[in-house]
Amino acid sequence: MLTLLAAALAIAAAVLLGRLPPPTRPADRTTWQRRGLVALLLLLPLIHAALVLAGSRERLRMLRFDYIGKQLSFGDGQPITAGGSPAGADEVEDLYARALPPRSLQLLPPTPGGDGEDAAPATPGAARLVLTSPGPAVMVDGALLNSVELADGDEIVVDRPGGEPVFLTYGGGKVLLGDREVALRGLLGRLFGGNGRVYDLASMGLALGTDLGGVFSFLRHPGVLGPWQLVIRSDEVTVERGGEIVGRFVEEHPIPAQLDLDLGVVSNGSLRRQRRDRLLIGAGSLGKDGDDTSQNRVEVRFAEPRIWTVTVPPEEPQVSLALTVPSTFARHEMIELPEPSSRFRGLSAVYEYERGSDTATLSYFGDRQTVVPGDVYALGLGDNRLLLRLQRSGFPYQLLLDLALFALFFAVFLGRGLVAHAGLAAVVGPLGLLLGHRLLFSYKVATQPPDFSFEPMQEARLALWLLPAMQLTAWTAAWWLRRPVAKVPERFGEALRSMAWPLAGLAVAAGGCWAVAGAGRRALPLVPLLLAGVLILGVLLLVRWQKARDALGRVQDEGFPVRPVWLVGFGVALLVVRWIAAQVGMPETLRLPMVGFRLLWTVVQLPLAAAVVGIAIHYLVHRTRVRTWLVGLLATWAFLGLAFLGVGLAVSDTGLFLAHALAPFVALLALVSIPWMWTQLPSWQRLGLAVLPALPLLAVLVVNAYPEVLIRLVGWGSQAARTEAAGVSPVRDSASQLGANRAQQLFRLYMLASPQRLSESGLIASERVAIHYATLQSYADEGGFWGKGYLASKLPRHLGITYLSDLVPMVFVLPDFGKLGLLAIAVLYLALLVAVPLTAPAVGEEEPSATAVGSQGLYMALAALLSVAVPSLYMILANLNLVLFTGKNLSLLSLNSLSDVLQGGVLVALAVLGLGLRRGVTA
Amino acid sequence: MSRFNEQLRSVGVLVLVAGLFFVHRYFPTHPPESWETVHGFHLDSEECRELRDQRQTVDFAIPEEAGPEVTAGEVARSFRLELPLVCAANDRTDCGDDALSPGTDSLVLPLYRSPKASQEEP
Repeated sequence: MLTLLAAALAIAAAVLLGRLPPPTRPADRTTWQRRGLVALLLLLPLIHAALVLAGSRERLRMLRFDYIGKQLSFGDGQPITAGGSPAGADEVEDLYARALPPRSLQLLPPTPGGDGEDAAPATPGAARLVLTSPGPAVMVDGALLNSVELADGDEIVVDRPGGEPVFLTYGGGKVLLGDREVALRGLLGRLFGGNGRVYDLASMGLALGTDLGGVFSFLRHPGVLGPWQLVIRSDEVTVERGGEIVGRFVEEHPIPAQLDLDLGVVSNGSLRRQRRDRLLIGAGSLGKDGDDTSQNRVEVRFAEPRIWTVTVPPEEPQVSLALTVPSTFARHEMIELPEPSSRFRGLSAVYEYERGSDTATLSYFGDRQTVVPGDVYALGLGDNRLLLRLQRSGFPYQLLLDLALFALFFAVFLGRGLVAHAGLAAVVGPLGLLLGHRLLFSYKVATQPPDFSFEPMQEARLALWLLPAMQLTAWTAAWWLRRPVAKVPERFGEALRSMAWPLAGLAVAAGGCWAVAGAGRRALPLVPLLLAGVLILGVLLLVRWQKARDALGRVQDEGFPVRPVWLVGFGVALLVVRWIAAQVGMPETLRLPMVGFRLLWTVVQLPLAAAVVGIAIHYLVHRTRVRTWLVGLLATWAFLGLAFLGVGLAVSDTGLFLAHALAPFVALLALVSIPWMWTQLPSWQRLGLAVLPALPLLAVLVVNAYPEVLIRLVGWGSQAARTEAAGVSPVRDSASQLGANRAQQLFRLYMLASPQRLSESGLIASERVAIHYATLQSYADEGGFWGKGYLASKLPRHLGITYLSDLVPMVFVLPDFGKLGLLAIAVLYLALLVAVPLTAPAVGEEEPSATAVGSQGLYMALAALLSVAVPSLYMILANLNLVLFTGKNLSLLSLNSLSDVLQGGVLVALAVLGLGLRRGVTA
Repeated sequence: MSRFNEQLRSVGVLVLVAGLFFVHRYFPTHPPESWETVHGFHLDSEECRELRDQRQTVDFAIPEEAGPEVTAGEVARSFRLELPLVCAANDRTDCGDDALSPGTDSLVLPLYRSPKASQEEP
């Protein structure tokens, strides 16, 4: 309800702003009214969040228990062990990892050196790591143990007991056996696709025609340049060079006093981490007083602590909890530490929280201590203890401060623009509310199971600085582009002074990003801001050059140049680039070399497509002859077909066509079919031409309205699809004859057309889709019409990571805010579009301010805002299972994606740029 | 732009910077994770006895099929109970290696009693 009210207020304020007379100087009553409306728009996200949080303040009071590590004693007869114990084993591992063999690794004290001449020398290091053969991939401080650099001509020998040795030859980036070979990923693939791919010998054996089952030593590349390495995980594998053994399995390794220990296994061609710990040998203050046995202690700090939260019911004055290692008693009110180690069985402590005094105590063996939030408590006796960090959380004031700073940034750096331009205000209002929701959702992720992940929170906070900075850059660019050339200062110093405020804004935003980003991730968010600064400074330098000033004048007079053939060429170029990228392993994301950040292709493609479509629309608007109109429209259609349908097919991304391509087609359809729109063609010709963009839209509608038709198309080629009526389980029969990708499409179509038949098929993959459908349904019903309230529903544990991206409407909106809340989110996306009619009225009229570049800007803004709104609306419907589900997300609300922030930010910035070019009309 | 507006914007920038400092200093995205203060607990035999009295106990007769000889430590472990608590419940100290004869000996086991239940008692 609150969200809907906020959305309605945002629209109303923007519309009122558009109806008021322009501001004057000095400020008159109207100007103050405009300022008041802008203040309301800027404060709406803050007020909305404050009300939502106030309404759920009881649910915000949470007790939190982080199981963060353990302190262990070790000795020659009592090693610290790591591995995966069999179910029901009495002696279990100290560092448990289910996927590893039992006792994969042992930590022992260093061997002391003897006194005599024949005595063994002392082992170096603070301790010894003893590996078992076969064992996991063990990484110490980022370096894999038993890793051998390969040279051309090396032989990898697999000599298993009871079998003939197998000799594999490495050379030229290939592994050979007889006349068969396996090509390893090349330089280009590593540069853009990353070096995460590994080649285990067991899988390579299949390709080489030999049985190497169970041999999980693997080849990996640590970087982009340099040699491949073989990581040897069992004693049956050796590496020979010129008849000499240069690599073999070494059991024992000395280790330093502090180290990061990673244990991994190979799965589906990549090294999967099973656990990661920081080990501090000799650390900890355990043992009896005065008994210094610190050399035989290890503090293990988990990289991924286990976390529990308990909310404090308002009706209970006191909360009591037992913290125990698995026990059989009073299970219902215990927090069971997942500690299978036999060292800790039976441990139990009592945690008591008093609501009135907001204090907690922890009792263990009669020793009762007052809990200091954030401190670590060691439970256990003797040298072995579990480490718990005990915390409490209350009202999250930081969210409100973040939103207050967001509003202040706009007020300081874009305040005048917002007061003068209703279109800009119409964008900023809903944008703030969407980002406010992102912040609330990500706070829920950070404080609730299953993930307790802070990354979404960091990215939501980053978005509050990145997006305003992007809008500021776009608004500044628009100011430059529409400024008469004669007024553009030639001297750099003068030009720089004119840009002082935007540059100051970028500097403040950079400070904001730095302040809210996590340690180690501070540099990356600064890149777009740095680019923006370089862009502004580059323009300042460029305008000193007469040719650049002339070009600026031409753009202002005639707009950006465009030819129909260019559109087709651009579409072809886009298709070729995406196809090549898909071939080197980057179908959906562009992996930035060196930094390794994966940027969604759509961050680049959608704004480019929106700009092209905007310019193409401008071209069409000014064609009076039907023939040139038609050529222009066909060229635009070809561009869209290549850029969306072609690319979608090339990279197997149906969502690109289903969700993203809708926006430009809707823009084209609006252009040719809405009567007041901006064309001089007779209406019958316009409607006739509307058929072209309507066709693909119609196709999408048909897919969703008559999925049975597409089932036959997707299932084409399979026998059962043609004899469906006679089949016992047509879904299973059809799917069994299709590839995994087509089968997945088939299941999704059945989910839409006939969920019952999907459930009856009995396949694991189809069952997954059916469960997905059932989950969608249950969540859709959970919150009812009004919703249960923020934080009232639990986050799902069984939907993988998609609940943070594709399923945000279902997981975060429907249960907590209800159907009304979902409607409000949809309204927020639609509200963005209000900016276009608020800016448009003068287009086409004979006004001096209606320049060519201004008109182009308006159409760009239309296409860009549609590119934000339409896919989001589609995904809202998909979450309600009303249209075919595809793996896209709501713009700006994909909680685990910085790419989504950038994509939404760039699209909105493009819209702001376009609207800014038309600023003269309303200012 | 008027001088007043310029000054207002400058104040706005100062407030933004101050807010940023405040956010960075007091509201880090990730909660601080200091390992410096680790509170330990100390076992006290007297306290343990008191604790024993607060818990429900059960007299566990060592079954004959348990084997020729079992230790108190093994019994405690199989019931997932802390050994010192078991020792306290049986008025012994360091009882882990104490041998028990199946079929004849028994051991008092201090079972966990939920705090809720204890509150309900008069």
